[in-house]
Amino acid sequence: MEIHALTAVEIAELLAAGRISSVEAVQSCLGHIAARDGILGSFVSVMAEEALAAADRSDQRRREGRLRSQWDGVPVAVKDNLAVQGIRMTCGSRMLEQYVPPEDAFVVTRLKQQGMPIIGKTNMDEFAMGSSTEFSALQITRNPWDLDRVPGGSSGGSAASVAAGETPWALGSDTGGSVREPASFCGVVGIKPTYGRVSRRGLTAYASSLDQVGTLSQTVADGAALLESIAGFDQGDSTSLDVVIPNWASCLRVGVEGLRIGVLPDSSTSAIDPAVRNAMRQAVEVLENAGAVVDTVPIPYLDKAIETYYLIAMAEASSNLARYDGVRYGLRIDGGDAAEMFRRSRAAGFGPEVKRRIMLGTYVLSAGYYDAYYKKAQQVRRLLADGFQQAFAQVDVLLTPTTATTAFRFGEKQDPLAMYQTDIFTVPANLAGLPALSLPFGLCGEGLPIGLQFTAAPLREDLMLRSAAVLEKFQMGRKVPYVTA
Amino acid sequence: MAKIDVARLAVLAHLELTEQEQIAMRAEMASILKAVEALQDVETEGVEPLHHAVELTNRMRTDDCLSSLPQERVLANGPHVVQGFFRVPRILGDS
Repeated sequence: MEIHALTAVEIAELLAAGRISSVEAVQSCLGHIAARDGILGSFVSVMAEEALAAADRSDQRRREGRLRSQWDGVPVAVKDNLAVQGIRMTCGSRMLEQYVPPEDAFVVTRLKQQGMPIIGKTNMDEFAMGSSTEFSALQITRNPWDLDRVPGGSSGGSAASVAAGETPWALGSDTGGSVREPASFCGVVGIKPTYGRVSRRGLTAYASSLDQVGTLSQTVADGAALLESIAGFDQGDSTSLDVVIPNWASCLRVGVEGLRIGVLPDSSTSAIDPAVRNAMRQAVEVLENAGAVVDTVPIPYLDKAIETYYLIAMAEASSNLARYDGVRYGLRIDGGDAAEMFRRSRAAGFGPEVKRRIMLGTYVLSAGYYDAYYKKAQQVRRLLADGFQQAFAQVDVLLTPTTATTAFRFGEKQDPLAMYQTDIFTVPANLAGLPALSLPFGLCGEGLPIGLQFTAAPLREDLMLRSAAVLEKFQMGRKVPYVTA
Repeated sequence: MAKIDVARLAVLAHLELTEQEQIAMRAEMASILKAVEALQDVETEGVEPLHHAVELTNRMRTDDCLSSLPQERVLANGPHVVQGFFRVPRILGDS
């Protein structure tokens, strides 16, 4: 039985039935990683020893009847910008190539509290800046559906590992689409929660007002369960919301009868692949047949979302990455004085995209430019958020493509601007703090997964989960792909 | 748009860039900044900037002493640690 390719729910059921052990589940994942990851490159660090020890403890707990949770013993992978104590955390960068976190991220503590063995840390674009994982300073990650194509980014390793059956589920992070876009490219479910739902403590900061931890999974049910596992108030994160975590599992069977679903007017959508348009059409039909009311709803200023996002993200990134100066951690290149040491360390530690964003961020925050760029972007952000608020008075959920195209080839997007455009449908949710979910829905002519995105009002994950669950039942041709040698 | 003073920005950002890198950086920045010019068309008179998606106010905790990371763990990643200090080259130069 190829345990590694099963969903988390299936593994949990087999564990509960005593048909497999957690050690066997972890061994299955590790075996598949050993066989395939040389080509795929999802994992930066494989935590074989730690995972097997954790699995063994889980099996022990099961024998003694003191399970920690429903997911006790189910393996999980974690993006390499989430701290796991004692395990190297690179953030895909030379700057932190040897960095070892002194404590766990809040979400990692949650995983451990619930007994989930962590099988490894996954590859990513450097400091989460990118949409293809091509900007990882460490290694290439390939899309399991086509090894010449990118898995998306920045959580490319997490998405690819789930798609290739190396792990049932994984954590990622999403600042402008970094969970949903790779989910779309890799044919898996990607969820970004409402801003503040999940603690950011221990998530390496990129853009603090946009960052959220998210989930990558094979099914909506798994994604909802993993999100429920990591959500919740954290005193240690000042942006953490003190709100009840709904029982999302129970809402998956409610259906969409009477639900109002909004789609964008044709005019507001830029160059969308015909196959993706087709998938949207079919999705609308499925939802209508299931009893939903689908209507067009315009979102003003959506065409300014990319510019707004990049100005804010770059500004915040330049501030957040100021801490990497070679003093307390990270790469240090010595200099004649401290300032020279900072300059040299940062020049050597950061890749070209990170440098670009730091420079631009510094520029838009500098005296004389702050109002014209940064303040302006924050004002347009308000207008965009208000626009969504008005839209959600008319509809319950929004349906759009996650990405306008399917996965592109390595090296295809050389121009930074072309790369930034891939986030066109995903950045709005980060700007307005909305929950959003990418669901795989069909394949394009070249056999690559298409992703459709549901977005809901703040704290209304239940509505997007309900809608996604209905669509999931009707999706065509999605299968967990194995990497062929 | 005024020519971007990449050299000055590099100093502010504490980045050492070669002459070549500065030239490339200037071109890339100009191109990206040109693209975001589109925002100037949006009427934002009287619009309050949105700094955070979910607008919360600071929640203060009681001033209780809690445990923190042991010093050895904090120092463990230090590139150059001397007697419990992070050692760096001299801060104040001749300038």
